[in-house]
Amino acid sequence: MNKNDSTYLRIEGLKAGIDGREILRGVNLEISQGEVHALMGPNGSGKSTLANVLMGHPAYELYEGRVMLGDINVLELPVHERARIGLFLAFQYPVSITGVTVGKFLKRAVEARAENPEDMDVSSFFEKLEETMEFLEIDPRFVGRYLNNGFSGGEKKRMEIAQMLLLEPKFAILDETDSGLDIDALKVVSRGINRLRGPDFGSLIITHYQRILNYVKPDRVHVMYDGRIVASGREELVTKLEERGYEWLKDERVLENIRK
Amino acid sequence: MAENTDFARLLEAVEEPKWLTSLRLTAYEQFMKMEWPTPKEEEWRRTDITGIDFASFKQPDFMRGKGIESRLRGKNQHEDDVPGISVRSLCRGSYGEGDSLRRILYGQMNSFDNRLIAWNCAMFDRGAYVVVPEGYQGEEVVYLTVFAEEGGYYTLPRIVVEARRNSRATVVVSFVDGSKSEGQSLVNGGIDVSVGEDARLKLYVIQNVSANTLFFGNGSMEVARGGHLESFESHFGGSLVKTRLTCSLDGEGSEAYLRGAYFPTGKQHMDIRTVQKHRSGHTNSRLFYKGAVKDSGRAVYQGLIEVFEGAEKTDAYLTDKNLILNDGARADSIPTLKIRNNDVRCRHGSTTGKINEDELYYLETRGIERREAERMLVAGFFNEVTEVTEVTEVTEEAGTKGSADVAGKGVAAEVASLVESRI
Ligand SMILES: Nc1ncnc2c1ncn2[C@@H]1O[C@H](COP(=O)(O)OP(=O)(O)O)[C@@H](O)[C@H]1O
Ligand SMILES: [Mg+2]
Repeated sequence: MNKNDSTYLRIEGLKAGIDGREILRGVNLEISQGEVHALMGPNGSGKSTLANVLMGHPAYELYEGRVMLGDINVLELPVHERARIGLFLAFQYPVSITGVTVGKFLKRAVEARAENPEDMDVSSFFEKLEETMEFLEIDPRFVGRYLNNGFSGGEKKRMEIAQMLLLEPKFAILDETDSGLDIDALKVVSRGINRLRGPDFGSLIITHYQRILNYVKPDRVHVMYDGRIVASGREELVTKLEERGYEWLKDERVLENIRK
Repeated sequence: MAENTDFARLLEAVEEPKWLTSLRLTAYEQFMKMEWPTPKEEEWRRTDITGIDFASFKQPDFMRGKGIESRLRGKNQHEDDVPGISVRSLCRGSYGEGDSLRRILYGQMNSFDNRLIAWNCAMFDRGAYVVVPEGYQGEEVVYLTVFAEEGGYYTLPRIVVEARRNSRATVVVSFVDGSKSEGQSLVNGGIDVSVGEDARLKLYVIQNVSANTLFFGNGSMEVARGGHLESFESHFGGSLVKTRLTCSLDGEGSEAYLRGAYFPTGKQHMDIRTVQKHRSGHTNSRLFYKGAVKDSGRAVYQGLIEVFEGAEKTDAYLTDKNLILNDGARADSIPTLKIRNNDVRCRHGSTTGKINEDELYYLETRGIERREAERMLVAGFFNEVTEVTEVTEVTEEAGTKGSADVAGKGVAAEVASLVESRI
């Protein structure tokens, strides 16, 4: 893909919620392919909701707004098509699926994402799978295990990153992929994200902590509070948040200042 | 159905041992006295057969039906002085009074508690007798295919599997029939399994008769001291299926791993019963059954763990899981315990639910269409009971591929394709 094809993910005035209760109260955010953005914010501010509304989780209702990937409004597409055009979500709590092995699942997912599944070469898929698992320090025997079944928290997160590397999305949303990881696992996961970093890859890293951002340097940082992006800035914003905590954001004057 | 005198005359024409004929006649007397089961009996409460006109099914040409086809596959890598597995006709062999077949059949043919079992005991008209000789450790797998008569007939097959002391073997039994649509047919089968001391037996049963056949089955499996049994039964065919599989852990330290799968769709009704009998101490049983129901399909699972007085240090486990694929389909799961010993460990449980929405969503976010995601999840649901052996072997043996037995893999693949064809 050359530079001119590179695109953006633009969230415009997004309002969404559940059972008539508005959780996202007008979110605006634009990420260009090639950029890594961080999204921070206290628990319950709506970060996971945003991620799931972008992917099309059936439980959420859409009230207003649109989400453009280039000239496609992704909110009009069924979930699987959003994935096929290059959106990816690394889940905060990946489910386990009994009876479906990692190998079989990944093969189907890669086939689904491929433009011409008939052209997919099975042996090169397995080579790439093996290489990816090695890169993420995942035991190769996991290929034959049921997806996430009995995996530790860290193993599940690595599996999410493995999927991301194999699917090569245009935009990846990583929902607290760093939570609950020890430092070694965090490094591995960061290495995975950095591997895709480049002109064809954009991502939104949802996190609570500065930690992961020491390994994956964000181009931009946003703070979500009560269903809105209340502040956007450069890396320094992370340090400020880390120093003063989210309580700091409750003060409207602070927000005014940040916005300036 | 034949009258008393007719039946005796029929038997005269058959070349079978005298002791067998006399067992049949005793069973026949019982059969004539008994009534067909009614929903008043707990075991038949959810499956009402009082409307079935059993007399309307035609009797096939006695002992001259299609019979049971048997094949042995795989290398017979046994020692020179150990004979191979034998498969003989149950009805035509020359089995003596002292033959172990007599012991096995004697036990079964005198202890029936319903008329269907009595019917099979008295009149089974095709049968196979598999003997795994003492000490046999070869790789041969026995494949038995039971053909049901088509077009309004009844078929009464009986299979006896005897794994003698210290042997090891795998037996795969398939029940099939053609798809001739004239008239409904009926199968009423019996399987008797004897696992000898320190013997290991794997038994797989795939029932896939046509969708308007009535299928009744009664299986009885006995495991002697130190014996190890793995069984798998699966039900796909039949408009009405009613089966009972009893596993009796007779000897100290014997073990059984029982797995099962059933999948009624359309208007199929399947009522599957299992009984784990712990008669001796230090016995171990693990049962894992799964069923899915679709359309107006109905599944009933009844599982009983029974621990006898002397069976201390028993460890028994039973779990049955059901997946309901649409409104209008129904599954009932009824596990029960009957324990007459305090020094035991018994656990049982059952679940009934729909396809997990979060799992569907997860697969969809990976580009897999909803219909296909559903299919993957239903197939995966059953994989857990068909692939069990494979999975444990893979994890235990550090990922060595191909360690799971070929027969088990073949059955898993066949069951998977039967599952997939109905989703
Ligand atoms: N599926 C759901 N059902 C009910 N409430 C929900 C659901 N998802 C999110 N919420 C509510 O929406 C708010 C935002 O939650 P969430 O998006 O998970 O926040 P975050 O990821 O920032 O911690 C919370 O008040 C949460 O309780
Ligand atoms: Mg969250």
